[in-house]
Amino acid sequence: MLCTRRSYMCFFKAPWVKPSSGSLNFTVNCIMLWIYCRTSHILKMIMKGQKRKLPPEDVEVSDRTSLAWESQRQFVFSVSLSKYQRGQELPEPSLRRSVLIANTLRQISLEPCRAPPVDMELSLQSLPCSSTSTVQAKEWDNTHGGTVTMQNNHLTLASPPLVSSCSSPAISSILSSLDSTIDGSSQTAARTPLRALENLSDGGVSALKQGLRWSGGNWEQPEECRARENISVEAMRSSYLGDLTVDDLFQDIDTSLLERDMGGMWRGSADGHSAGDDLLRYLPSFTSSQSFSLSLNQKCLPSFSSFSPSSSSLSLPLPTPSLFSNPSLMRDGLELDHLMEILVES
Amino acid sequence: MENTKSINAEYLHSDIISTVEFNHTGELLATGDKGGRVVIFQREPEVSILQGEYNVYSTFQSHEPEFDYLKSLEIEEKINKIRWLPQQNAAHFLLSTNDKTIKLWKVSERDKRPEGYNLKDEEGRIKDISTVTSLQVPVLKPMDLMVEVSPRRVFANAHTYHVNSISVNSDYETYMSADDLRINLWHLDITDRSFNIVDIKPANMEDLTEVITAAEFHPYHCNLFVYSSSKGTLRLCDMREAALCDKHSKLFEEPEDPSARSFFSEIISSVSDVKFSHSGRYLLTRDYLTAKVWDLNMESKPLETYQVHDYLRSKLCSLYENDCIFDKFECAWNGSDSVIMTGAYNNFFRMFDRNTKRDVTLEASRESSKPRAVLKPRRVCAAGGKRRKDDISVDSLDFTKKILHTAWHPTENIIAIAATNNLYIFQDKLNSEMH
Repeated sequence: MLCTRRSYMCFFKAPWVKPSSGSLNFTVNCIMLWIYCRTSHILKMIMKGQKRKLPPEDVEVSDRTSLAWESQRQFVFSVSLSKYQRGQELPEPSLRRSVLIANTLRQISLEPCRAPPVDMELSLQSLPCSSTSTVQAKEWDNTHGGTVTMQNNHLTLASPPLVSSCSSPAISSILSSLDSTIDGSSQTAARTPLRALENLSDGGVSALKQGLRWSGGNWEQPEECRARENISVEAMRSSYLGDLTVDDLFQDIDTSLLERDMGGMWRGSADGHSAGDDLLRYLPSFTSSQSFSLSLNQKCLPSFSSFSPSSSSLSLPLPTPSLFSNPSLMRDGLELDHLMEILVES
Repeated sequence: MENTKSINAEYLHSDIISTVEFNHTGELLATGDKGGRVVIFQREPEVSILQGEYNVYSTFQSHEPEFDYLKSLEIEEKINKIRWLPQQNAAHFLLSTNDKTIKLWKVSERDKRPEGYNLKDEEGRIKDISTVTSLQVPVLKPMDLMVEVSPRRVFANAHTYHVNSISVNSDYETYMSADDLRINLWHLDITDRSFNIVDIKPANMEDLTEVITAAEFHPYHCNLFVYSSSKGTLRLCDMREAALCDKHSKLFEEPEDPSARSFFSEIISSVSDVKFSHSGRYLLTRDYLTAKVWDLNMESKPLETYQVHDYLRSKLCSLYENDCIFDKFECAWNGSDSVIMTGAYNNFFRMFDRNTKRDVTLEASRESSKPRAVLKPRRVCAAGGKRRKDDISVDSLDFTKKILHTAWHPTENIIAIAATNNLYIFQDKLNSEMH
């Protein structure tokens, strides 16, 4: 793990970094990189089902508080996930099978879970994961095609104890991607930059807010989260970063496109400001920052674009300047949110 | 039951039998396999010494693998269902379907041929006119029986999803085909149009939670049909009510037992097959662990529930992991609707007598099925339970040997069992009562 991280860090001394703020960008991006590496590692473990053990038998496991029930729940969850993915890799997935697996996943995610600590549960319940935002998240998922969205939702689903109502967009996107496969609608259509942003409208914003709030909820346990994070993240949080504002860090990023299309929506949302705050919490060095306006939030978003995963794997792509003006930033932002969730879970 | 015949074949994937169906008289038995072939067996007349055995009557390639260029997908040639049409003349007609296309085949015999042509000789060569001195009338002479099969209709391009059922209507003019989300009504003579009568596809595919698993017309009410779903519900629809029968006339659903709830409750409640009784009064359904008989007049719960292999209830987790939980078993009524039959694992199949409430487990395997031998009842004992001699423990069941397709002769006690690539035909020789 450490080796991987190191190699990525070396790799990431990219020429696009401006000399004046070279080391700073490197620092920020390294944090993201670490998150990525760790997440891909975790996901690979889950996806490949590395735990090859006897499945927990459900003989009279009616006691929902028992460990046996919980272990069975986790087992069924991971098996369902890998089953679904394997089914999707087939040229023609069976609709009946996929629907049954998706329903099982949904049922598991809705089961009351005893694994997370009580305060986490409270923070979960306080999250306004409303049905409206769920529906809008689905819309957003739809516009971005099946494959990438599936990845997002894989990431979401891979954190079982925290999966509650926010996995329903995952499951809905599973079915929508299935539909697109079966109906032959173009799943790999080239996404023109403007179209993606136009389609976002309310849906994308709400989805992001939902995702952000979700992750914001995770961050309500700062001690627990940080204890499990990489030590280098702590090391990164050096004092010189505290003097900077977000503006300084991302001044080289072209957010004109983002501002034009996102400005109205973000400002119009009732609690957009809290979403922006949540977003900034991802950068641990900035949690102490107080006065961030919405415009700054918009500028923060493009920072995730450099970590957009390729469509079929979680390998780290080569960042290019053009990515920053790519309106798939929102999507990438949400992806990184999910990565954060995975991290917290680990 | 006495074993009269077992037909063996080289075990290729394409040889796996995927459907079995007797015709309306029981004289013909059709099987379809994964290679797209249909093999029809005919029963020898009982007057002969062979005592009514089934022999191969005809073999033909019904469906070929196709390629959907639009979706870049290959369409399997596997025959999902065969249904015979009631016989109206000397020829026999059957419908066979794969995932996308239904075909109507005409099976006819030719046992005479004309001889004595004036312009052609016996081999068919044109005669030299100068050698013809007189005219003769061609006459029909007997010849060796030849069975000719020809495709009469091809009903294509009506299903986006995989066709799982076809059912011929009692009006002998229409039939329906059902896929995962839609049911279409066809006229047997018209191939370029079909009417959609059920559509459960939601506006947003994300809201999809239920698919159609089987459908069948009522045996004599040509306006009624039933379809089953993956959630364990049955819907009886009346085509007189509306053109689109999305709204059911009757909904048959058994309330879930909360104490038996598990992660797999929904999967095991998915109905894999539904069959009307010959009387038209009852419905037989099969889900993963049980077979249920429903009365059309009672929607709240089934009339009878038969446990097919309840010893698997504690193994659902493993069966989910190895995908066996998704197996779709068929079920069958006997001619008098007094006995129901369905398949299980380890090449076992089960019969339940509805009147005496007795049941029996039999095995379809070459080792235990010597010709003319009487099948020995088998027993599966739960793991760790008291075990008698010849019992099989749950843990030693072979889950790759599954009997998914079974058929019962319409009037006599003759059953056809498809065990992977083998077809077993068992006959009860004593009398019509099961013993």
